[in-house]
Amino acid sequence: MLLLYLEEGRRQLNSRCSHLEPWQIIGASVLTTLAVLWLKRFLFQRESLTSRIKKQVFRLVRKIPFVGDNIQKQLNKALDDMSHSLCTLKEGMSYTQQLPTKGLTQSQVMEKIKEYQTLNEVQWDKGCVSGAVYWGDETLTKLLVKVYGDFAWSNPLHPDIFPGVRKMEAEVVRMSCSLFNGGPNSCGTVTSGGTESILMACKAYRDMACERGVTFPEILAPVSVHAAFDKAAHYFGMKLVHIPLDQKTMKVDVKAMRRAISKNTAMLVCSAPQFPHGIMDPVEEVAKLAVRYDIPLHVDACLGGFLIVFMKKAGYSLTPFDFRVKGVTSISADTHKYGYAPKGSSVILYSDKKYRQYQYFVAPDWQGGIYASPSVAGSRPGGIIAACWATMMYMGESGYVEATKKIISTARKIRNDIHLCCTVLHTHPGVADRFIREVKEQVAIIMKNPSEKTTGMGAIYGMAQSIPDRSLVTEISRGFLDCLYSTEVPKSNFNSPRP
Amino acid sequence: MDYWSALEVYKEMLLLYLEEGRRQLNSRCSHLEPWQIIGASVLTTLAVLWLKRFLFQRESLTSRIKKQVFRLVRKIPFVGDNIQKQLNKALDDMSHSLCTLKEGMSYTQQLPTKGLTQSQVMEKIKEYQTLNEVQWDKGCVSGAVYWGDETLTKLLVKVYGDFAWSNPLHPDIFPGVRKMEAEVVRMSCSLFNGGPNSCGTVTSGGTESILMACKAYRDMACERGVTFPEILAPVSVHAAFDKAAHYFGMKLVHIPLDQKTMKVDVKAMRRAISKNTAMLVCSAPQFPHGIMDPVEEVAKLAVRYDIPLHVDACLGGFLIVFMKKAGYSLTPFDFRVKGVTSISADTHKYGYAPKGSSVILYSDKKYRQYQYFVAPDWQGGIYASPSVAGSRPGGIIAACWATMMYMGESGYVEATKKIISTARKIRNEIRKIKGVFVFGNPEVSVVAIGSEDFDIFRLSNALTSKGWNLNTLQFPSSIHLCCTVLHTHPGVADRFIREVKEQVAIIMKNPSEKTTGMGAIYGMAQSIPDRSLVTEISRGFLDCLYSTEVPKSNVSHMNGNGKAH
Repeated sequence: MLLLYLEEGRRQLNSRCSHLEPWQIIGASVLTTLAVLWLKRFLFQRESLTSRIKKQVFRLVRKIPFVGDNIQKQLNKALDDMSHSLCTLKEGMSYTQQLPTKGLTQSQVMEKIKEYQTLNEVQWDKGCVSGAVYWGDETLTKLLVKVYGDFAWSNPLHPDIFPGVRKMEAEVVRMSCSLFNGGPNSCGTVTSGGTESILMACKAYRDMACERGVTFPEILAPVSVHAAFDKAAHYFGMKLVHIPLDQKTMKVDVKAMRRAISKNTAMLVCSAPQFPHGIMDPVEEVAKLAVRYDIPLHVDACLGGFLIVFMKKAGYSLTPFDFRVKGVTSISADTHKYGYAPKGSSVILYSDKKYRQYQYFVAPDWQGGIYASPSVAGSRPGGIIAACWATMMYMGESGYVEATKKIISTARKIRNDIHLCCTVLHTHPGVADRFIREVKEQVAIIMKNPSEKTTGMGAIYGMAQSIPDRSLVTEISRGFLDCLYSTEVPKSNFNSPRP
Repeated sequence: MDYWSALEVYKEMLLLYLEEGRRQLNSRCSHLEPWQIIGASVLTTLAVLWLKRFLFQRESLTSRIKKQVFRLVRKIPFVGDNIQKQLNKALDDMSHSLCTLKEGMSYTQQLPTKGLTQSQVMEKIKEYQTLNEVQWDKGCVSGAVYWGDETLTKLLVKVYGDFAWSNPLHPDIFPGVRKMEAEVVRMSCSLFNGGPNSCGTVTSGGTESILMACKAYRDMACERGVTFPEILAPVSVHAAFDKAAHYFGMKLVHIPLDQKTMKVDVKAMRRAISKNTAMLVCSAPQFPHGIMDPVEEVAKLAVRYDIPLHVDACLGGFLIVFMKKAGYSLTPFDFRVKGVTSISADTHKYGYAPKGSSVILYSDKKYRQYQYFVAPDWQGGIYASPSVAGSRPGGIIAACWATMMYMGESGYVEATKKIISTARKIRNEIRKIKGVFVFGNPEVSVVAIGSEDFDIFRLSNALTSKGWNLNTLQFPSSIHLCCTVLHTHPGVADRFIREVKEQVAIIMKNPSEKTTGMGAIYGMAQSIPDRSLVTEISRGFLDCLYSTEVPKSNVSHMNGNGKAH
């Protein structure tokens, strides 16, 4: 049958080409092949076709004479408004643009520092802020600053010169592995924060995928996952495939994740819990997929890692999420969040040393000597690692369990659909009650006229969501970052309202 | 008109040849059926494309072939096993000799069940401090700590304490740190003679600064459709550029140095420029030999071909900007040179700030835009971050700011004077010693020593046994001393020069003797042709750093220098 059809096809083809000269046939088939390949490459890129078409359309819209000019005008106005209202200084203050010709004395420096502290208008120590500072207790701060001072000049890049910091870092990793029930082969490194931890995991899995010949490794992660995964994809030339959530539970849709798995999949991701809504993804179910398809699974516990490991002892149950679950190959957890260490420390843990090897970077041929570094940075502040170590020793299991109890009971009290990331500061007497009371009052006021327009900062957020051309939002956000580094005092700088 | 008629002739000739070719082709294919012709030409096209893709990859063909050969060698029954055995032995040896603890010490593997009190923690910390065997505060170490003065340390720690919980990720909550960071950037721009449009960000260190510049230029290259953006950098450039290439999917093209001056060969750089070139790099000065690359000449290339030029001044940035005022001349290297688009400089080196701060500066805001990362659609809100990290330690930025204010221009110029005069003295004295030589003409703080008469790592061993901790370099073998404020203290430089003289004299008695110990390992590491073995050993070294197991046979044979950076 098959042969018959082939024979028939051959004859058809031959008869159709009979009036063509051979060179024409050759030319036509070469061109067709090239065209097909080009089309294939055009259609299947790292960025999906629809996303590229959308971007191109918006790019063209912005070039249409009047429409584009108008958009640009609006954009410039938004940027101008931002630069005027953001980062304002108090009356009479200015920016230092150059080094002082003569160095200040110690007391002069401390005097000047006071000026910077008066800029603060948000009272984080009263518990009014979601997240940001997770404890900031005075005794702890004193201890940390003392320890930091002892190790201010140390640098784990030179383990022979600073063996003490080397030991501390190794111990922070080991203690964290123990907390997440890692086996004897579990390992990890200390990083400068959650973003670096996540970047490092993605980098390791990218290199693993590249080794087996994948050109565009894919990260399969819930929509709710931290933006650091977007960053990792952008940095390392990977593709982030967002898996939708179950709209009711806000957990990742495991079936959708299974469908998205392909030969390009470099890693699966779960959050425990995710940042936007504080929900624990179904780690156990996703881990089953990871085992079945032999794909590494990263559990992102950057935010709540040092809460969830103590929840059982604090009297709250959770489904397993750590290395006890077969299939979980790495976990990221921020010691500078609920580990109560000062900013600048986090851990990335692996179930086995073979994964960590891919995180390392080695340049064996560098003229300056063999260069080997475990994570993004070369030099690293040893003082912060020492302070992190000291915090963990000072808190001990008992201290963490106690703090976890307080935070979880406060959070359960609030359980509101507005995002508030509870910290120890919110557990202070009265803070939670005040928040609940004020949310109630405000919601009551809003509900009197539910369709009224939002104003101020809320309106900007609302507007930003409704802009279809996301590149505009990107541009405004870049402008925002520019403002942060601006050292020019806007001309009309008399009490413009703070957002 | 003549012109046209002359072309006419060529046109006719061309047509003739084409006609001839067509006839030839047709006659050759005459015995083939059309489907065969189609099949053959489709397959040939595919094969050519495949070949092209195989030959031109990010990694060059020779490098890939070399790797593949070594991979195969390691699979040959006896040879491979033997290599693996040797490798395991080396790794074992390393784990035994590296990171040893003192008698009776052990690792904390779990959180203490009950938290320690403040005094208990401080007591335990002491134990960690006793591990130190190298006395960096005596000026025996190359680089690493650039000052560490006591008054300065006190001030820094106080400032750090005031800002310990701050985080520039939340500028609305911590506006003070925001202002400080902006000012550190602005002051640095002023130092490097940036115009009003110059800008930058503070990062966590030199590596991050370099990564960010490469990322910005990669995104610029990608925007104009380049698939494999290339970094053109001297061989002597910092390994962070290798890292950037590896992270961001770029190709690092190493440009050779002039063997005498150790400066980059500008002609070779010009030849390497292609449509894939995303950026050019100069070091000011480079780490291995402390030589300033010819920034002005490379900048001319950058302008002519319209390619961004990054000047890596991570190591010496905060020296070179003060050298003129300190009385030492240098050729221009900063934003005054047209074509220089970005500069990286570490505040935590000769800026004397505590570890964890550096700046990356751009000549114009349009470049910095490419460094930013924005995720406009994140569920957690619009996410915009200037550099690698999300959260960042505000305390370190505040301490960096305070250091700059405390030092002021006067303090920096004073320190620069001392360091440069010490380095020049060492350079001049070493040049006088028979048997060794100084690489090129180091104008800043690093002096690299080599020898044509004996293995320089023997000198490294000898100096290590005298308590010195120098950097060992490879390709070519050399050692260097990076002068810091600690080396300007009375007697330190003199002692160094004297001991180098003495040791060289001893070695020169028998120049061909074999090197032993750590120096031999360095020599061996250079001579291994299969670089993947070196990579594996280095990974093993990193594993050791994180090891919390006490090796069984823990007889104290701490083997001096275990540096792998």
